[in-house]
Amino acid sequence: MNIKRNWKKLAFFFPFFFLIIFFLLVPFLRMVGQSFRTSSGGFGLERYLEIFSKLAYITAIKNSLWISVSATVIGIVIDFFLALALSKTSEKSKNWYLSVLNLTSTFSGLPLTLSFITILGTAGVLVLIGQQLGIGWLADYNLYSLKGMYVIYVYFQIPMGTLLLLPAFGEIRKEWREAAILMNCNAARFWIRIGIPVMMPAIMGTTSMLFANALTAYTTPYLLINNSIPLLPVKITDMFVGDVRQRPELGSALSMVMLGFMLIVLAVTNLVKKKFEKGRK
Amino acid sequence: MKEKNILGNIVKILTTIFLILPLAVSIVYSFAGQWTSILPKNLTLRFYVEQLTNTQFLTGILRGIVISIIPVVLVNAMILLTLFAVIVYFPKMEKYIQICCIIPTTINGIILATAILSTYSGSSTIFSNRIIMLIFVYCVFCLPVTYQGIRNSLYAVNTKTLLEASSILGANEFYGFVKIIVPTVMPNIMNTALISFSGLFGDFALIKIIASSQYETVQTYLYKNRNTKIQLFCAGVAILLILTMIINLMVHKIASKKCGQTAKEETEE
Repeated sequence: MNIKRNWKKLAFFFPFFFLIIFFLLVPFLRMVGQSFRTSSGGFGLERYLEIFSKLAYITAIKNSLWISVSATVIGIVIDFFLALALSKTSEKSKNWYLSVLNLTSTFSGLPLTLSFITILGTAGVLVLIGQQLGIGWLADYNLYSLKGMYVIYVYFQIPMGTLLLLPAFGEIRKEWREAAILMNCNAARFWIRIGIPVMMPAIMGTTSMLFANALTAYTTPYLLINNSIPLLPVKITDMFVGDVRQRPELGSALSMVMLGFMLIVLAVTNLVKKKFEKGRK
Repeated sequence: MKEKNILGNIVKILTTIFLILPLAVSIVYSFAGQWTSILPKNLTLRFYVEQLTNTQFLTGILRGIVISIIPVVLVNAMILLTLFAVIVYFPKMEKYIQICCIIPTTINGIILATAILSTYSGSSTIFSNRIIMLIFVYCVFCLPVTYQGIRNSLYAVNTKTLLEASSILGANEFYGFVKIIVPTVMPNIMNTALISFSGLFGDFALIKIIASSQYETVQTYLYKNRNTKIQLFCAGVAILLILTMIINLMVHKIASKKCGQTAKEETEE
């Protein structure tokens, strides 16, 4: 009787568990298993050894890490100063800036990349203007390269990061600032010694999100450089849906490597977060 | 102090220009008959007319809306049922449900999509249908936001107490949940649902990986025609942008309506 009654109650979980089991757990475990399957069908690290010994994959990893780490660092610095400036702005103009940020945060993926092709592509508006006015670096701008694409990566880090960081500035109390001024502490020193440590948990949370966002970005590199410059997300998807030769085992292993980097960043940021949260309560 | 504000203003203005520039140029370009020197020439509306009378583009928008609405509705229903059972019958399950809902923030996007694709694409089950696969991938994609939104609003209205009260009055708990709790938290649900919807509507990566040529939405349509006239795709981008802005406005309206409502309730008290 009891089991029967509980069954009825458990039925409420069925749709949810169905989704989790069939579309999260099973595919993920299969991917993990597949990444350890050797070409003879046994269990081994063959795929991983291949990834870390072939130049194409090592370059893909290096490129991916370079673009995501540097875009995250630049992004978080810009986000910090923008959020700082916004936290001091009057309510009315702050709302205006917030709606710009909200609008541009939904402006991503395909439309964003197409827009950048319009302004900085081979026949882009800014490139043409650069040619007419003789501004060399603008006239020769190459969007279809790792460095050229960088600008788009920085672009999509700004709205999201700023919106995430802004609430944290509310934690910096006005009295602290006043007390610091009374004790003859200048602004830079205040932020380094008090402001940033207090905000560190929020900064770290934002950093790991921005990093994951940049590392897994697929649309922008797919449209701009596709396979001419190796990057992890494009390489991974090619292993599953590519036109040439599909190698799901290797793709799974590459996915695991990418996931590994994300988990490392998550772990490091969480450690730093914990350290700064100590003694808070 | 004064100097600091100038610096702050410079930061604000420069980043805003940077953020708005691609948008503004695309919108201006969509009106330009020609743009080969510094300023655009021959302003015209014909690219909008062309795009808005293009059935492929319009069905693309419609298909995009359909494929984004179905997963949002499904995932909201799932989470409501789950959280109902958690709150009323199994409070200890909460932790595990939360973990399940947070996992997709790390195992996200292409990792999950490729894993699901390689698991089911060759199988002869119903999951091998690319559209069904896409719907479920989208469901997992919306899981974190939806869970967080619904959870917070269900706890905010104190669901458990309300349901206990209604069951004392003789109503079945689930009946009370559907008739009392869900309508109360509806504005919140709509709010997170629209956020998920706009995320899905703007997706290109997942649809490209999973359904590539089998289901053409407005995103894949623009991608296929990216090498045609630049003004045409600018007009397409502008139309998409206007659509997202409308969705955003709806979110804000619902949010402010909600605020208005609670304010009204407070004054009535």
